Amino acid sequence: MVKLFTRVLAYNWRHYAAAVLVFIAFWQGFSAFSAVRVADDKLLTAMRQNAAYFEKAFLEGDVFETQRIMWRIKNENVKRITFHPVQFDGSRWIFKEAIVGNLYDRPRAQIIHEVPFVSNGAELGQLEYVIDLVDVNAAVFGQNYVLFITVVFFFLGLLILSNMGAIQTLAAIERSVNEINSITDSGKSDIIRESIKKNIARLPAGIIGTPFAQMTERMSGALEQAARLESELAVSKAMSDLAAQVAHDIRSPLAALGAAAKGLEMPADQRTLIDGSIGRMQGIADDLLQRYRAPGAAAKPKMETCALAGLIEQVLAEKRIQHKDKAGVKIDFSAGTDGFKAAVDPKELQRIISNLVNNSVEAFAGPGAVRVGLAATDGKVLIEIKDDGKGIPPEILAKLGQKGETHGKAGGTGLGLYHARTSVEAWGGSLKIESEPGKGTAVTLTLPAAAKPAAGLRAVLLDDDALVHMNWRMAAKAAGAELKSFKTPQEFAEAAGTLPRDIPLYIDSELGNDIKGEDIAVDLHEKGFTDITMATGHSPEKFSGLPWLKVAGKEPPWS
Amino acid sequence: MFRRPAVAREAGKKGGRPLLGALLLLAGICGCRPGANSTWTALFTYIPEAVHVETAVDGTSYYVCRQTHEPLFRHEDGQNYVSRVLSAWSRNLKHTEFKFCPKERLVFEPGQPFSPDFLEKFLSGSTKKYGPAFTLERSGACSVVRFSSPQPGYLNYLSRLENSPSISNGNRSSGLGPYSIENISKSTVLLQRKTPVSSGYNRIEIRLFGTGEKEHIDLRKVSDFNKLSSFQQPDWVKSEYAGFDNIELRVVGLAINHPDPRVRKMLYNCINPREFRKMAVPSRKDYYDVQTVLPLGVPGALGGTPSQTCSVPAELKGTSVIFANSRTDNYAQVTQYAHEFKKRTGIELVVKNLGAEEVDAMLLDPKRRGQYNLALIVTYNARQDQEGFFVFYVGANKVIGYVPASLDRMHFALERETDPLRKKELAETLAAELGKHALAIPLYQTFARLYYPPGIKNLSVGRGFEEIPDIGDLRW
Repeated sequence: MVKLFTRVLAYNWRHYAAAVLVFIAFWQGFSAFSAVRVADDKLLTAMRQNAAYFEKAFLEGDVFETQRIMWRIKNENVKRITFHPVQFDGSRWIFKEAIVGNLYDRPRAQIIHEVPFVSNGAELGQLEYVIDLVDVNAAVFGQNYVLFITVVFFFLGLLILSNMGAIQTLAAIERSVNEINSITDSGKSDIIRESIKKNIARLPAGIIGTPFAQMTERMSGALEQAARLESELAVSKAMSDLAAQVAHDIRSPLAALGAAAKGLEMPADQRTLIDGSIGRMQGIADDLLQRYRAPGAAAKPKMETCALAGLIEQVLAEKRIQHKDKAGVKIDFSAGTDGFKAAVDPKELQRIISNLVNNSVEAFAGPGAVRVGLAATDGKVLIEIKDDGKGIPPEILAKLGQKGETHGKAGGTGLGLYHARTSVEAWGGSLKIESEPGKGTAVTLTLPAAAKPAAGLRAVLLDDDALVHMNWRMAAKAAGAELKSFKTPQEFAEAAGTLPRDIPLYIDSELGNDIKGEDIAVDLHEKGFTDITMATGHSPEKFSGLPWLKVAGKEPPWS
Repeated sequence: MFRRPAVAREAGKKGGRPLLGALLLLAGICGCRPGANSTWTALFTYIPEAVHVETAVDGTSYYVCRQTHEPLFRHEDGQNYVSRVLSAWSRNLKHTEFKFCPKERLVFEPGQPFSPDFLEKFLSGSTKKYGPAFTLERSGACSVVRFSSPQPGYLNYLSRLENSPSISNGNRSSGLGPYSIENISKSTVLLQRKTPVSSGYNRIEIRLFGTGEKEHIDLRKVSDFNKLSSFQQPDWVKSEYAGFDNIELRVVGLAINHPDPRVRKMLYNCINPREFRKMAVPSRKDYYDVQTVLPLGVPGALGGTPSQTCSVPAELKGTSVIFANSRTDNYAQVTQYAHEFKKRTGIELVVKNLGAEEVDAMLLDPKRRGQYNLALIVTYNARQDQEGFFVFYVGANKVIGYVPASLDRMHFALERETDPLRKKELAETLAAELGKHALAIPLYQTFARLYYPPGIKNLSVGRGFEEIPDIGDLRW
């Protein structure tokens, strides 16, 4: 309670002081004014009452009696009175004036009045009287000070009572906020809503239902949602980390598996299936790494100039095998005569083609044909996936490609077309869907045609992983490229002096024995090597401090 | 009230007298403002050797006693009795019983309180002097005085300064006033406040303004010049001090002190008041004529001059009468007058130029009463009664001889009378008798403009007609 009172006073003391002072000033002024009026009236009344006696004494020249009467006329708030007699022949009053009272002059604080002293119509003279405002004020204050002391306490009581409710409300709000802060700091954000509800219930009745309480309610909801999102984000991040770790770790085994598969004798369709599957798994791993690198943000497209026909053929071969059990479903590819190339993310492109073909096949109620065509025009490469399925109604066609929009696919999320559109557009291209219900759908990907890539068939690899070495050697052999590979930095250092400074260098980040490939890269860069690439599963952001350093995955550059 | 009779006082007192009640303006240009100096300095032309309230007949003694003594009552507005020394008092409507209770915290001197025992003893002695039979008994700390007959004048009697409670200590007496006498010397009387105050006068210096002393006085530090003649006051007082016209009840008379009533009668009828005052007080220019020793304004006073018919019996021609001259500025005029008086009346006027001090001493010493026949006497009264104007002519403190006992009795009755009408009649009668017995010639009535230092906040006037301020009350 004492703290409450103290707060009331602390918040309001200026207003309280002003109110008290205004009251005191007003009351004192009013009292002084009244006292002056009363003094005036009393004196004039006493004059009238004693006029006849004064006249008698005055005419007799009796100063004793006149002085006694003047004392009767003067009252306590009149400082002095001076009688100025009239002069007339035979007057026995021989004195100039008669004064009773205090002679002290206070020019700016005294009221001086002069009135005729009349007795039954005859003027005896002039009576001058002085009222000293300072004396009157002091006398009045002496009468009023008890009231003022009472007022001080009365106003104090009023102040406390009138502000008690507000201060109590404020204190309740502060308690509530403190509790929320405490809960937030302790990390138990899930109970914030309950806490706020409880605190709102404890607020004074008048504040419940007010905009403040509603705001608090909404705030509690926002806090709860924020807590939930934070929790989800944490989970998501954990999942991302796990996925990234898996993706990173799985790339090497997949590369080895792919290399191993190449060396196996098997039917072509099986090889195609195995290659496709391995490619798919690698694509999945890439996807995970992409998301890990920039979750939620637009992934920086990992583009390279590719021969599109090879990529598409790979995917279609897989699709044919995948859908071979569907009677009457045909998947044809028309590659064109030129080797059309475009700067794309090959895995992503394959995924897109794979999804689009799957969409077409899944749109068949029975037999159907999917025709994939590759053409070029005006510096653009067109990839068309056309089917003669059931088609898409116009109202749905307009929405397709937007996130979440799906048609005709049980369990579909609509993410495929959306993803395809965003990816193609990231490569500088566009995606168009044309469809006629009952007749079929055609999806056309338009990509900027790429210039022929420069020939680059030499490379140096520094990696401690034997499988990676094997994969690269096989890829180099298949591509007819020249590869020098080293397992340890020492081996590399012994040969580095003989290497041309513009030869592409591919260095793994984790070289064992806590040796970091990027440190080797820095050293080589300083030595004049100009084409250095980190062949690693780590994200490029890790090496953002080395702008001259390129980052690529574990795949050989000729794959 | 007793005042120094003289002449010197007459010359000196004109033109500047302190008014009633508490007046003090300690001012001046050069740093004598209140607050800068808490000593009140007053100038007098006579310093007594001893000061006792019972015999404070001279102006200086009276002035001192007004500061050191406090009577049981004050009657300043002429109607109400108030007491500064009694904690409570009462009387019955018949004026036969009076009860007095002392303020025991008051002291005369350290170790000498105003105790109930002292009050009882004081009332016993004082009431005995009052006259009528009485009984006195203690009632706790209070004393009760009972008379067998109504005594309406008793309170008035107790309000006289000479009837104040007092303790005699050597050449001074101590009273219940705010000051006590610290020292009396030939040229100074020093008073010290018993309980010092701020913004008030804690010390009073009464200084002799004589021929040899005035060179040592810093006039700028003087508060009260009103006891000096107007020609003795510095000119700057009129412009720098606050002044006002006082109702002064003051008469200058010529006391006739001769054993032969025929000589007294001859002198009374043959000395023209207007001529004599012009000769005796040549510096004065304005006079008011009075028929008796009562000044105009006092009930019973009469304006005009006394009725005179001058005739000198043959057997009186050649008689010498001694005029004790207290002034020093009229030698030529007095000589001339004496010459002319002798020519006119055959009476030889022997002038003795004694000066004010000597004349006062002579007047106050009954043993020297035979050394003069004529002397100027100034009477003024601070109280609202008539008896004070007769004190130097009749009664216990008269300065002349050969006063019939009837006049003394009449004066006594006048002192005891409380009815204003009866007092007026008695006063008129007494004044007439004085003339009839040729004991005094009223010469003129004076006026005074009083001057006080500016800045005193409670300078109050109108409480009686006293010219002596209550210095202890003054504040700035």
